[in-house]
Amino acid sequence: MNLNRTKAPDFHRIDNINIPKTEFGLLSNKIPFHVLSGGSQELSYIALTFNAGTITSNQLLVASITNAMLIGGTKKHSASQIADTFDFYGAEIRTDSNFDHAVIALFCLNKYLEHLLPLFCELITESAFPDSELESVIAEKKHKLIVNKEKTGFLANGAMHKLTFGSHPYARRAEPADYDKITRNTLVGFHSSQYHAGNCHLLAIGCITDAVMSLIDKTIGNLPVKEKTEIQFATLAPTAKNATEIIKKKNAVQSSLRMGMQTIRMNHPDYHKLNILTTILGGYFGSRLMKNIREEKGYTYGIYSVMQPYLQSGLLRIAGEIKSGYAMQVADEVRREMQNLKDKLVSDSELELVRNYMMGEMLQTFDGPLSSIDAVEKAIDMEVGIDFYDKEQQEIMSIKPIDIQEIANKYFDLDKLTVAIAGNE
Amino acid sequence: MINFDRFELDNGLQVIVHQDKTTPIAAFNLLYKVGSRDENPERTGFAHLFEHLMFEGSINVKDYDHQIQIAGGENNAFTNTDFTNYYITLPKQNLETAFWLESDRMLGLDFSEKKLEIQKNVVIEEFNQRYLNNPYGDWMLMIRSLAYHRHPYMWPTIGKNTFQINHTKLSEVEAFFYKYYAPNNAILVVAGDVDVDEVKRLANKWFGPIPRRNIPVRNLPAEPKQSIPQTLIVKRDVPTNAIYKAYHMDGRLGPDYHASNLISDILAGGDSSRLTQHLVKQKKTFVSINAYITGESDPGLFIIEGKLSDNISFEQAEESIKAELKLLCNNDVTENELTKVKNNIEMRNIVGEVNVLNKAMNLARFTMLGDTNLINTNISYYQKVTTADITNISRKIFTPDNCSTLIYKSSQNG
Repeated sequence: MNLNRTKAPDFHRIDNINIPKTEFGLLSNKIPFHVLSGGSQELSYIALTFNAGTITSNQLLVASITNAMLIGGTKKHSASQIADTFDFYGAEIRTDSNFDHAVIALFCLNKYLEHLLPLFCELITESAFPDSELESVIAEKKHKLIVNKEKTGFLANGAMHKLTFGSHPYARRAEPADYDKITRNTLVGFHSSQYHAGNCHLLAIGCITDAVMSLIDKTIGNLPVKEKTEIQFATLAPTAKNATEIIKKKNAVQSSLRMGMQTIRMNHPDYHKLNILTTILGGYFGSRLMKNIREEKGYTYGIYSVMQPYLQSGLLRIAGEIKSGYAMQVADEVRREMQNLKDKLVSDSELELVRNYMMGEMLQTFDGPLSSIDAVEKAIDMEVGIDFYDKEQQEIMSIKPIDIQEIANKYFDLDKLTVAIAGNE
Repeated sequence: MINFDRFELDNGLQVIVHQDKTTPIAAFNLLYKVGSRDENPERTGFAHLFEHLMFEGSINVKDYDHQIQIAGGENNAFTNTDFTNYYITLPKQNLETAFWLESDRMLGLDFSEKKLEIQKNVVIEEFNQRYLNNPYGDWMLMIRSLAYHRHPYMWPTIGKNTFQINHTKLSEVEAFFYKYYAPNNAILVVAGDVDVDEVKRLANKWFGPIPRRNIPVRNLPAEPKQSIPQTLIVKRDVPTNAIYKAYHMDGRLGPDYHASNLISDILAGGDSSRLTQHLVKQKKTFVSINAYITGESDPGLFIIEGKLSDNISFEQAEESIKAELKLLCNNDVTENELTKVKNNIEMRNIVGEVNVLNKAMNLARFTMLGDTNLINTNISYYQKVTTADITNISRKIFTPDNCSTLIYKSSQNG
């Protein structure tokens, strides 16, 4: 047999991915729900997302500590009893907060939902904020922040956000001393105004049968309703020209480079094109940044660019840990690569590569309900719906080199690119 | 129940096929039985550096990553102390692309001085990023050299230092390839909506012509039983004091392995665990604490690590950990508590059966250990553990003479 190893075997292009549809409805108490059902295992992921992110409080840390304290004890159960119950059933309870939202989610085997959903609701309706637990949560979080402030990546990221978002709440960063200003009363007040049925939506993914939905409605569908708190969109001022900050960290053996730019929200018609452009720049292993900075120069283990969506804006973020002494040079290389995308058309072969890569990635994302949790959650929370991914795949399949160049010229405004470097530069 | 078929090529390549008709993705996982434990003590970090070079082109294919991406796939690799694992996920229609690329890499690599230089730099930056430019990042390097005196687990996979990585020569890289990268030293798992006969055909077509190579018999020095407590005190520019304790325990196939894993969950698995509840929430001795096992093939380590609260001395911190371990040795674990950690393992097992790549990786690892069907029977070993086992094995592991302690002092903290 004569085997020709120099020739690639034929491969098939993925040109159509079956994006599942979420079902939409209202629970008895009018909580909007989105359901994605399927999968061979009797597992459910049930998440309640509240408009209770950091931008909904004027005081730093109130939102994140309130969220963490949901599992800190209720009027009927202590934190340790709560943890014991969820752990006993092998269930996972997740709390998480970001700029826009705060989430509490339950991930467990369906057979235990009946035991666990009532307790899940109790966490929201009867939070007690016991002092001792609050003290531990604050100590742990404060310690984490103090350790993070030793990390060049954390420092550069915070500085980049500040440069990029200026006076907008998205620029705010807490300091360790902010933990000392937290009082129980502030948390109780924030909890009472934000954590209720009028201020959230529900996402259920997994083996969501009618029986599961009925259980959800009997429990979460009974959460009390208050008036929705409207979120004021804060003003986004344009970024200062060529804003740069260097944070000196003497003993660092590497420099963290973060670059940022205000961009568009996920509901903007150009979002998909800009996302494809960002992928070409630094969104996969074969990207221009990885080729240039890692594979040609060996200055980094990894550098990437990504679109980070927020409700009120979007951030184009570039990040890499760079060999000491080279971060400024790498920042210039990033600008050069971006300018290059404005000046020259991408080749058909590069576009085909990115197209196939992105379609393959999407195929994996939608390989069963559980692997699609993050993607679905993002689309629902950013208020674009799961159709977003249908439009994404249409755009990936139809975009042309000239469209990419146009988008680069429209959005890669290099004067507005902020640069933050932390390290021994 | 995970079904699988197996066959072996004439050149010794073991192949496992798992059918999962529910997914459009095929997983292709190739495990080489070489890890950092097989390294020359003067060239540590070598197996991992070599893993990087595997992506720099092979005899007939210069652009490995490009070929995966153009076929809509994703790929990566990792190296640990025991083995090196390369994996690809791609649309099931494009499975042959994976066979083409991986077989060419096994056939031979396109080595060059320039590629080696660049990947040395990348690996040194990885070393910096993960271990040196990261508060507390170097603790694992120190505790391994404290706990092991003979067995090569004494160095971590990244290597002892960047100096050795920097001094690697191209001839050493080539020798390493022919010593360990061979069909008779590898396990291939293909999982997804695939046909066994088709996998057989592809395996024979692409891997069949690769000759068997002489693989050295692994003959690692066993670590002698530790007879006195080991302690190392270091001072670093970090915000708070930390303590790391490592106890020798069974390897992955040892009789005490499963109970030891459950003990680590009793101590630190989830918010309801003992160390979290007693030492973080109630006594507030630590701001955070964790316990886990390294889970290696040869006898590994049971690790407890904690960050001390500001007003707590190292003596107080150690005493509080010892008191918790003493409870385990004194029959303190209830049936209910044991059931809880078993339920957690069961849940992780179920979740682990959802993803096709995850299944492929587990099949490869269990095959390496000598029993592919452990993927189905592994859970029963956990179910069999009794509270008496927990007591007995705690008594065996948690003795002062079996412990290495790293005292990690903050220079910022007085």
